[in-house]
Order: sequence, then structure tokens, then C-alpha cells
Amino acid sequence: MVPEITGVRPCRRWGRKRPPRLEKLESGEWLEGKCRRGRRTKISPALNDKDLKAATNLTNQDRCRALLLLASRDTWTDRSWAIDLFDDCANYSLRCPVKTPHRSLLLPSFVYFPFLSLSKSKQSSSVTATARCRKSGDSKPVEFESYSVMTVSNSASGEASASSENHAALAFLPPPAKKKRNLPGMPDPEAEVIVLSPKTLMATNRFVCEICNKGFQRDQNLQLHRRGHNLPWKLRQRTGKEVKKRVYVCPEPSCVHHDPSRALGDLTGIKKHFCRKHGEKKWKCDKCSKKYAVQSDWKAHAKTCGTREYRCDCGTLFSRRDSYVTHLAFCDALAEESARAQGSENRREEKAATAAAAPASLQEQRMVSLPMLPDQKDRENSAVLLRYMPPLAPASMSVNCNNSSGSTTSCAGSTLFASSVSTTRTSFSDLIGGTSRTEAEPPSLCLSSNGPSSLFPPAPDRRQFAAPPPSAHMSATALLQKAAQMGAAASSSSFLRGFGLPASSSPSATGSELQWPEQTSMSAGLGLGLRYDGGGAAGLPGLMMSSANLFESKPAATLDFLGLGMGTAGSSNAGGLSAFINSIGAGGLEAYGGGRSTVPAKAWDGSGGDREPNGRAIL
Amino acid sequence: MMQFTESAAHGPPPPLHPTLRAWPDFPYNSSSSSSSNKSAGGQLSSLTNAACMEQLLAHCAHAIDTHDATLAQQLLWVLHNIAPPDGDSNQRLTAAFLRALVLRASRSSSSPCAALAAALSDVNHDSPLTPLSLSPVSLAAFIDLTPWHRFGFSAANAAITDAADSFPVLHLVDLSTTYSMQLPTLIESLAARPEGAPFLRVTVASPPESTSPPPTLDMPLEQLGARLVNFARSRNVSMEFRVVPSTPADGFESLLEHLRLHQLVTDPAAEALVINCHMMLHCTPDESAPPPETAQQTAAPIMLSSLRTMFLKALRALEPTVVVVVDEDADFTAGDVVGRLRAAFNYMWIPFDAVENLLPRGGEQRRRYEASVCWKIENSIAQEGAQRVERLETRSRWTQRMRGVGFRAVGFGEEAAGEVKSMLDEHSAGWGLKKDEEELILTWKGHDAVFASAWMPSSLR
Repeated sequence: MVPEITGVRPCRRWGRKRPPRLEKLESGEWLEGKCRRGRRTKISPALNDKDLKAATNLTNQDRCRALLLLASRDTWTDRSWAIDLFDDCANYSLRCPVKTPHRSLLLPSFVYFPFLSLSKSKQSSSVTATARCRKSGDSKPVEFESYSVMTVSNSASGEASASSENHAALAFLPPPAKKKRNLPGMPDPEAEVIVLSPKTLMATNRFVCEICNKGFQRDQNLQLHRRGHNLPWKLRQRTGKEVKKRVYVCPEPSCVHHDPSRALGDLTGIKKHFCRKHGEKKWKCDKCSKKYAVQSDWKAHAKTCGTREYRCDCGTLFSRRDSYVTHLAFCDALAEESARAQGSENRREEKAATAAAAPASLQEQRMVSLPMLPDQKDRENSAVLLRYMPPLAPASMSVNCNNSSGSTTSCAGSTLFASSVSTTRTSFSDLIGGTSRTEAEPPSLCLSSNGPSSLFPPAPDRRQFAAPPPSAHMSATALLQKAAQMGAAASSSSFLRGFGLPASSSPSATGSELQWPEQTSMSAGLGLGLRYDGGGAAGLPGLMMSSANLFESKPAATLDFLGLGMGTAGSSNAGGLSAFINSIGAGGLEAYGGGRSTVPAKAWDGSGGDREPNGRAIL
Repeated sequence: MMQFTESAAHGPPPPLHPTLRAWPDFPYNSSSSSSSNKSAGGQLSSLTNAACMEQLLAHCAHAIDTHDATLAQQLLWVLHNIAPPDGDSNQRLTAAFLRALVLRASRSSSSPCAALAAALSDVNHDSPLTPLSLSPVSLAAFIDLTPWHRFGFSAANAAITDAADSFPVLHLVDLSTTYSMQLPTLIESLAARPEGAPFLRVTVASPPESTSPPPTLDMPLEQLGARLVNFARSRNVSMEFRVVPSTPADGFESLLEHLRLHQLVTDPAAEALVINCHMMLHCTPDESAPPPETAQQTAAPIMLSSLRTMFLKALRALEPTVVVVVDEDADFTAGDVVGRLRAAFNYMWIPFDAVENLLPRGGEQRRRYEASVCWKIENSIAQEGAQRVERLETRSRWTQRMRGVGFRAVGFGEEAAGEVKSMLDEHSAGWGLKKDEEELILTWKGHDAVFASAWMPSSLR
């Protein structure tokens, strides 16, 4: 009695992830979704919308039938339901054979499509009905009962297959790539539902060979194994008739997959599901603390573990690269490491420096001849500059001829960097070469100006000089600590030594003599000596200013530090000599500061600018 | 509800049964909503939705401004009871505003409100928020809690890397309240440049402490710069770091001066000048701010336009390669406190809500985070004049300003958006990205939070 509309679905070759296939209906009509080339599909519409509405779990064939039913109607009593249904069908990539922008379903004219035209060709009464409906339009909507229409068409064509030239079949369009995945577990209602006990699900080797006790997960494999022992074996033959489809549910009652409607389609799937969700997580990652219940999951994790996690040397773990990079930049671990690297660099430079020789005056001239920015305001801004330039040529270090007038320096630096002016660069590296040679000099010079040379043997000095032990900074003044953090401990200490000697002649420095090998205490002595006779230092505001912005938090210490040079110059009464020492000190420092963080060099540069007038005044 | 007993124990006790005066458009369901501690829970439940709280706060702000001490007192009291500072995110939000209002009341010297506020402030400030100062590492961790800043970093870095393409020198002027936390990732992305990293010159404005929200950095910027230079060295990027003391209060005058001088001696073709404005532009005085005294004396006619406009004009005159503007998308510029309060209330819930499930209540991180948000609220509500630096403007207003001074917007590329998106994927699901024609917008549960836009000088001028 059920009328049937049949159609031809164009054959398609389904991929693996195509929509679920249609199955046979129990009522004799059938929906065949299994694709073979040339296979045709017959589809019957739903009887009425009531049973469809009642169905909670719509299968795809239900949807197809509903589509057909709806498509065969002119108007709907329950339009929202129809819209919902079409939405739903769109989700499952079920389409009506004709174009159905489903929002337009509300228009009655939409439904004039193949069903009615089909019936028109066969039955005159139906034609008139349709025509009347068309003409009347919205003013007098006629509701066709799908049943009657179908009956008409059925009786006219006799056999439904006659109407196969129309387009009433459903087309299964392959789903768009980004469609939401179906919920896992939408089995066929006809499939046999199987519940396995947890024990069975967890069992790894159910089939054991009685000879060698080797276990197998499948009987078939065991049978093949038995063949090797020359035991009787039997492979199960594939039965000729259709294999009954099986679905598996989870034995855990609280699980969603316990419900047969959400059963899983394959045995491996249900096993993994049970393990993951309800089993013990016994596979533990060695690198991180993650645990897995399924071995394959654990293996997959082990492949990526560590690649997506970042560990700083300080022990902190990061999951995001940006956090890690940011942390790394500010972490002490990096600072220490680079300080160590710098230490070794210093040593290398030291060796190179002693090998060469050049007059220091050359260097001094260059220093003076560097362009100075006349703008005073910029200096007041006290822009602090820190810089790193990688070595361009093996010999060249980053040139730091900076004073607080930053623009000048940066100009020189940028031309250097771009290496557009090669001559400039060579002259600079010349300069550095010249200065670095002088750095061995200051101690001896100072010693000669001061009496107690036996107290300060040059050899240990030099050793220290070359490799400043980091541990010596434990008792360091804040100044030196800071300098060490900036990676310039070596340079500042060497420098201090140059001036420390004259300072030690002042009475307040006696205590420091004992600790002389420790550079740190030396600087303390320095500070003392300075404070003692450093009254003249107050007259050097520019000097202090430029230094203050360098050693930001300890202006007092810096002041002492800088004032020392002037103070000693005054006290020693050897103006020419002290000026010379001054220049050498600055030069040596410059050379030292070259390759590293250049902070101290800058300060002394700043002082270098101011030095001239002051030195003249002293003279 | 605990606060009630506590406050009664040690502050001067306010009237226990304030008779609630009816105020307009407020939904009551009970005549006395704060009379008893025990019944309060049930009765107050209807009061604890955000709309009611906003209404109460707005009335309270109005009462304080009109010196209606009685009403203000009542409202403060009700608010105090319905919004414990350790409640849910809405209550915390309200508590923060309440604290700001109390602060405001205590600022207004005249009036009995001051006395009242003094009394209440003991209650509210039982745990005084010490100005927080963090080490760079903890500050980085703090900033990484939410993508609030990281969003801007990511977008800006992409724009900067694009703009600096093929330049041998990149001069980055970093106007940021986050202490150069953006730079490491920028250095890293520059180091990955196929033709080699450019020379990176960074100029940082160091504003006075008062204009930056907590937590601050416990280290001088110079030292931080030394670490950055160190880091750049490890990535084989040559870098220069310079700190220019400059304050948004005078429109970064000294910084501009410095940049102008710098431009005299550099080749504009070789050096890409990039201005990165990360949530600091809104600290410059806008039209509603009182003009600073110095400017009034010297150049009265110029002061017709605000310092904000003047700064942007000056930026335009520098012919930068690109200007990146990242800021919070809200309008805190209303002249009256009620309007500002409403705007702030409807924006500041985002940071509170975003950490509600992220950080454990009462944890140290949560406290810091909320202190930072509270600082912003207090600044915009309790402060007036030059002290009020949280003068946020909406995205459209910034667009208008930038266009007005001769910039044109440069859209963000697909890669930039993709980068931001993948960064957001690693944060909580509430964060989202909207890609406009020209801007990238960070959203929290669909509400706009922070925008990022990039600008180039338009060739027409």
C-alpha cells in the first residue's frame, strides 16, 4: 500500500569518511547505499511526518524519507519542524535532488518540483490540482496530502520504476571538509549489539598456544601459529552469506557508549575506549608526568614529548614557546652563561693584545677626534645606551666610542654595521688594537709612581687581570657587582688597578693593602681614598652626571669611582703623569669594553670628554 | 557576609539599620536588604547580578559627587555587603569599584563623605596592597597569564617584522607599560629572518612609576636592557638598547626630541623607524585633561589640540615606517565620573572574568593580577586631572585620530592572524580573535577586549 517513488542516484565512489550508508528497510522497500558502479538506489518516502517526529534518533534513511515527504508537499502544517529537518539534513550532507535553499521552503511555490510534475504527466486530476494551486498562489493554499499524490502517481504508473527518469532520488554529497564530525557511535539499528565483559576487553592475549605459551589476540593468528608446530589448525572460512554486522557497547553503565544507540563499530575501538576511559593508566612518560592507558597513545606522546615543552636552564618548564623565549631573555641562567663566555673571550683578547704593540698616544688622538654632538640637551636627557655588535671581522670588536651624546655614537655604529664605510671600520679596529696593547701598562706605571712596589708584584696582578675569578665578587661593592653583571668585570677591575695604586698611598687605604689581590676590596679602598681627597671631584658635574646614569642605582659609589682619577691627579702633584695615566686608563678600558657590553667604557668615554679641561686646570 | 561582623568589630560602626531610601530604577524585592546577616544571603541574591551592581555603583558615584553623604553612605554600605572582595568575579569587580569610590570620596576634601570614606577605608583596605615590584622573570610569567598583552605582542611583532623587511637597521621605539617584555620574541623572529637579522636599535621611554600599573619591575631598565642585549647576542642579533626618560604626561617631549636629533644623523632609507605603542598612548592627556602649566605659558594657541593629538602629529612628522597601536578597546574619557564608571564597569569585567577559572582564588598570582586591574579602576574612577592616566579610547576613536594626522591603516596579513590565533589556542577557550579589515581584535567570550592596528604615513600629505 505504501506508495513508492523511485529514483536514480548517480553512482559515486565513497571515500572512507563519507556519510553513513543507507541500509535496507524492513518493510520491503530498500535503500541501498553501498556503492558499486552502476548500482541504483530506490528510496521510499516516509508515510507521514508523525512517526518521523516521534522518532528521537533519526537515522539517515529517516531523514531521506522525511525529505521526500516534505518535498512532495505544497505547504506544511508545521513549518518550523520542516525547517529544522532540512537544517538537520544539511548537517548530514543530505540534499534534496533539486536545489533547495531551504530557507525558501517557506514559499509554497518551491514545492513545484519533480513529484508534482511527474504526477502531472501521468494523471490529469493531479495536474489540475497542481495548476490550481499555482494560480491561486498564496491566496488559497491547497495542502496536498502526500499520500494522495503518491497514490495517484502510483496508480498511474503501475510500477514505480517507470518514474525513474525524475530526480526524486537523494543525492549524497560528500561532506565539506570542515563539517563537524558526527558523534562517535551511530550504528545501524539492525546490527547485532554485543556487550563484552571488562575482563574480555582488557585481555591482551586470549588465545594461547599450548606448546610455547605464546599468546595471541585473535584466534586466527593462533591457528596460523599452530601451523608452525605442526598441530592441527583451522582457519575460519568466510561464510558465503552476508556477515551479520556487529556493534559493541561499553560495559560501563555510566558511559555514553553503554547505550546501544551510541555503540562503537569495531572491536579495537571499544577496547581502546574502555582502556582509556575506564582503565588504569599504567604507561607513564619518562620525561614528563603524563600517563596513558593505551600503549599506542603513550608511544605517540613519547614521539612529541619534549619537542613541545621548553625547559630553561634554571629548571622552569614552559609549554608555550613565547613564554619560554621571554623567560630565557630575562633569566639569570643566560646572564651567567654569557658572563662565562665573555670571560673566555677576554682571555683570548688579552693574549692577542700582548702580542702587538703601538703607542697609546695614537689611541688618545682618535678618541679626541671622535665627533661630539654639540647638543647639550641630549646629554641632559641622559639616554643610557647598551649595545652589542657581533664581530664583523675576526679582529674587530664592537667599537664603543660612546659618550652620553648617543646620536653620534649610533651613527658611527650604524655605518659600521652596514659596513658601508670600510675605512672607518679599519681605523676603529686600529684604534682598538692600539688601545688594547696599552692595557698591560697601567699597573707598572702606577707602581713606579708609588713607592711600595714590592707589595704589588706585577705577576699575580696580571694573572688576575687575565682571568678575574667570579668568586672574588662575593664581598664586592655594589659597583663591582653591577659591573660584573654587565659582563665587564675584567675591564673595570683592570682599570681600577691602574688607579688603585696611587689611591692606596692615602692613609685611609691601609686596610685595603692586605686584600690587594682581591680586586673587589681594592675598589673599596679606592672609594675610601677618593672620599678622602676627592673634594675636587665635586667640581665635575658633567663627569658625575654621565657616570650616574650608567651605574644607575649607586650614584655615590660611581662618583667616588670617577672622582678618584682627578683626586689622585691632584694629590700626586705630578700633573703630566697623572694625565697620562688617565688617558691610558681610559684607553685601556676602551679596549676592554670593546668586545662586550660596553657600559664602563661609555662612562669613561664621558669622562674622557670632560677630562681635558679638568686636566688643564690641574696643570 | 563575614565582612559585616569584622567591620563591626573594628571600624567605627556605621548605622546598623540604614533605612533604604528609594532610588529610581532599582529593582527591589525587599525593603531592607542588609538588615540582617543571616537573611542577607537569600535576599541579596537578586542584588548580585551585574546590572544591579552597576546601577548601585553609579548612584553611589553620583551621591559622592553631589555630596549627598547619607545616600552615599547607604549605598556604600549595601555595596559593601553584596560585594565581598573574595566573591565571584562580578562581586570582585564591584568590590574593586567600591574601593575606587571610597578612595574618591576620601579625596574630595570637603563634605562629610570624606569622614565616611575614612571610616570605610579601614574596612576595605584591610589588606593594604603594597605597590608590587617583580623581577623580570616573574613579571614575564605574570604577563603571560592571559593573552591580554601577549596578543598585542604577537600582532605587533608580526607587523614590525613585516615592516622592517629588507631594512638593515630596525629602530624600534617601544612605548610600552610592560617593560620591554615584547622584545625577546621580536628578537627571535628577527633572528629567523632569511637574509639575516637587522641591527636592532631599541629606544625605550621610561615613564615615571606613577603612570604604570603594577606590578612594576624591581630592576632599573638599563639593567633589563643589558639582559636583552645579552639575549640578542645569544641569538646573534646585534642590538642597541637605549633608555630615554620620558613621560606621557608631557606627550613624550624628551623622547621626540631625542628621535628628531637621531634622525638628523641617520639615513632614513637604511633605517626603519618603528613606533610600537603598547597600551601607553592612552596615558597621554586627551582633550578632557587639564593642560599642563608649562605648555600653557609657552604655547597657548597650540594647546587648542590636545597633547595626544600633538604627539601623534609629531610622530607623523618623523615619517616612521610603521606605527603599531595596541590598546584596550574602551572609553574612559567621559568627563563625569558616572559615565566613566559605567564604561569601566562594562569593560573591566573582562579581566576579572578571564581569570575566574584560571587562577585559584586567594592565590598569590590572582591577588597580583587583580591588584593590577584594581589599579586601573582606581586610577580612572578615583583620580582626576593629571593623575588620571587611564584615559582609554575606543578603537574607532583611535582610528579617527590616526587618520586625522595623516596615517593610513595597514591591515594585518594572514600569517599575523594565524600566529595570533595559534597563540590564543594555547590559552583558555574564552579568548577569541576577530579580524577586521585593518585591525586584529582580541575578544573574551565575544566581547572586544584589546585591539591592534598598524599604521603607515599616508602618501597624500
